Amino acid sequence: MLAIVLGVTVLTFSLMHFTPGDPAEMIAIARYGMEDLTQEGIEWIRIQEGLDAPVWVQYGRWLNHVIHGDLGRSLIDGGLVSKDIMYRFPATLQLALASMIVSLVIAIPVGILSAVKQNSAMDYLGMTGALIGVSMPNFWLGLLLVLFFSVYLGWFPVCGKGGIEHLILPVVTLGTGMAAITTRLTRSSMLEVLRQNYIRTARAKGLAEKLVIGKHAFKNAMIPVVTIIGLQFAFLLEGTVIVETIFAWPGIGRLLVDSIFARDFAVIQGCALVIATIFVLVNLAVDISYAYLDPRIRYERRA
Amino acid sequence: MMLNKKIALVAIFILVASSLMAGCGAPKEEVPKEIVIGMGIDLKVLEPVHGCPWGAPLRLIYETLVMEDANLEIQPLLAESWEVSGDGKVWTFQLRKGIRFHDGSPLNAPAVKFSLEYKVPAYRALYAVLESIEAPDEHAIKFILKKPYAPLLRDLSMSPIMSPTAVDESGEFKSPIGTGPFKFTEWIKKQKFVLERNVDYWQGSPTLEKVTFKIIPDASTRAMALEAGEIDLTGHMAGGGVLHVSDIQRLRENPTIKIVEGYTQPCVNWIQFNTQKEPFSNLEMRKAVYHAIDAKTIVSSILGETATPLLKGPFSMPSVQHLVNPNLMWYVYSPEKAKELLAGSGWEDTDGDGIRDRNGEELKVTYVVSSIFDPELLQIAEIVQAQLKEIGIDVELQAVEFGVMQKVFEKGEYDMMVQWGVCGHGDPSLWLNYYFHSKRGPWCAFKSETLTTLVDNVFSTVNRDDRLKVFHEIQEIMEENVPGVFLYSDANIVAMNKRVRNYEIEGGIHGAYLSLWKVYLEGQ
Repeated sequence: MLAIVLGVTVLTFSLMHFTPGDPAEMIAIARYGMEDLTQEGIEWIRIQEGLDAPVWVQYGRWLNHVIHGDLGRSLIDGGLVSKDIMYRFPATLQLALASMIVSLVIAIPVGILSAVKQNSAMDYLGMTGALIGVSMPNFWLGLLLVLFFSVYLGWFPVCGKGGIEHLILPVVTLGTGMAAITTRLTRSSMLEVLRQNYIRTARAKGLAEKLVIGKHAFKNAMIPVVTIIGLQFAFLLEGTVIVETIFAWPGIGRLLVDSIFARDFAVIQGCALVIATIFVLVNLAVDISYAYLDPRIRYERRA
Repeated sequence: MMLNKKIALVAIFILVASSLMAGCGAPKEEVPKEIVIGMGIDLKVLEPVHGCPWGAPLRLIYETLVMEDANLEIQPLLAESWEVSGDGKVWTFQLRKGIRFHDGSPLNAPAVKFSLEYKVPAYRALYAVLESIEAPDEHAIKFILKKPYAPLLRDLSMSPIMSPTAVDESGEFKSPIGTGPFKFTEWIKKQKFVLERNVDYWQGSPTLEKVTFKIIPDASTRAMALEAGEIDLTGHMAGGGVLHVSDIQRLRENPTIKIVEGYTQPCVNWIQFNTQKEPFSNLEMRKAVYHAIDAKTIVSSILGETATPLLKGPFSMPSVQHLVNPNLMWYVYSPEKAKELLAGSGWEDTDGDGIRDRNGEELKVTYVVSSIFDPELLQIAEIVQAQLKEIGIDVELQAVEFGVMQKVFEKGEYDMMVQWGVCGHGDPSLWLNYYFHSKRGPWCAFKSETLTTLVDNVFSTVNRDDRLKVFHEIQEIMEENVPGVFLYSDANIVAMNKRVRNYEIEGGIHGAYLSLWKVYLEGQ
């Protein structure tokens, strides 16, 4: 696990350094504007920020600091990277959890119902909704929601982070988009399971339909769904640049993207480290849940 | 049924956890006399910086010796008067007396000297001609130059003065302390920047108790936030960020919103040719492209009221209209003329595919665009592409990230490239120096010794009439040599809630907030 996280940081670091564009120049422009950009100014920044050292030396310095619990300072504004991330990560987590809940609350019941009552009006309605959800771009849905609920009705704030009312529109934007995918997956997975022999057996032995669906079918159908949910959740935790931009939500996604444009290596590395760690943790959680859902999957305990 | 219970438990846990977290963000308190301003881009540093589109809010904390007013004319600010020696090499400024920094320390000549010399080598072009800055007495500051420097006042109008107490013993910047009408309260990066009023402000205490800059990256969201009353004021160009034309039109129809327009600094948006290689090393080719591009259509179809087409060269924009050389015709839109010029250079469409060719080689050019700051740049590039297709030039659009574009520019791996900006103050000298001075090496957009000499003269010629002649000559050279196609200049538009009173745009985009000290909100 540590190896994966380390690998990711090495990769980001080298990729960022192979990206065209002189970091010292980008930092100079970001800080001071183009008006007075001089070659001397750029060289001054290069030396000040230690960008003149070879890439591996720069990485070594960074790693050494990280081991000592220091993520460094932003190359643009000199602020602590750990502070930036600690400020933004809770916002991302809040948005991710709430969107996930909205997504699941919609997707699982609709998916199951669509499968159980296949080809019914309910099924068509659910699938049409899912199709719209999949094909509607986030930025468009987000802007429409703001225009309708904030500008015309004045029910929710347009943007920013604050109380629960600030959370609703971004969460609906993200949650419905994800729900669309999960609904379709739940439905197809359920349909497949419902055709299995053990379901026929369960029904044949006179089990109540509720139990057949709820216990036998649902649990088995969940395995691919959980994988996708895990991926979606990890994706949400990496930040969702578009929704964060539209709603001016202070998440980690925009921090990372802005830093990449500005070549703020310290912040990029910090974000990469945190995101890689989260990705690994979420995947671990998904793997563990497989064992719970499917007793055939067991992780051997090493003696 | 165990499973259902577990799911329910997990769901409840998540719900409780998220609602707890949601609760962390305290509900917005009602603070009276607060103005909320929507900005597209965040500040980058709190140190006094020179120019920068995002630097406008800092002008409320730090003031300058002189400032540009609404007409981009120089007005006294911290300096109440100044004089220049006959040879133009010694400038003496008298500081206004009795002004104090936010921490109570006095504004005096040593403080100004300290501030202007802070991190000098980092980024100040003025210092190439500066011999020394002297403080002959408590309230006089003297600039001794190696040679006359015409835009000195302009330069000082974007040089913020901070208190020597703003840095620690080692000279590192500590906290923003200036003389301005508002004091720094807090900066939550990429979210908000908050200022409180300085009741001891030398021009009188501001009415507004608090100024909050909200960072809202998306232009449409900013317009909607204004409609919903979440912000009181936001600008196109002014103070950082753009507004879409469609949004401005909607805002105009809104009875609760008013729109104020002002000058921008001479910012030229143009297409630069790579004259170092084929095909644009050929002058006729450049003229043909200029004739083929219709700046008027580009502005009317995409930018609308947010821009002015430059029909008479780079200075034909409202703010520097007086510099335009009236004798020059430039290149009016005429595809026929363009086709003639291309045919004259031997480019004909022999195989009938709509693209001209010569000696079996098709007329293909690359056009590099960076659309990071402004998605409209890409739409404009597409129109240019279509207009050049019309005359038989195949344009390959390359939309790249800004850093990549700078690299491509420096290496010369392009035929045409979009260029904009470099216009911190009301004099085009910064722009000319940035793009047309040969000493700038990789950043020089058009290498010409004549032009370099003329740009030097723009800086060293102090006499107004003589200087105007230099500007006229520069335009002649540009018209003759066509370093690029000058397209349009951005308008400076500020949209605000009608309850905002007494607001005016001063000093172009960087001075967007200079009038806030006298602004009040109706109903207070």
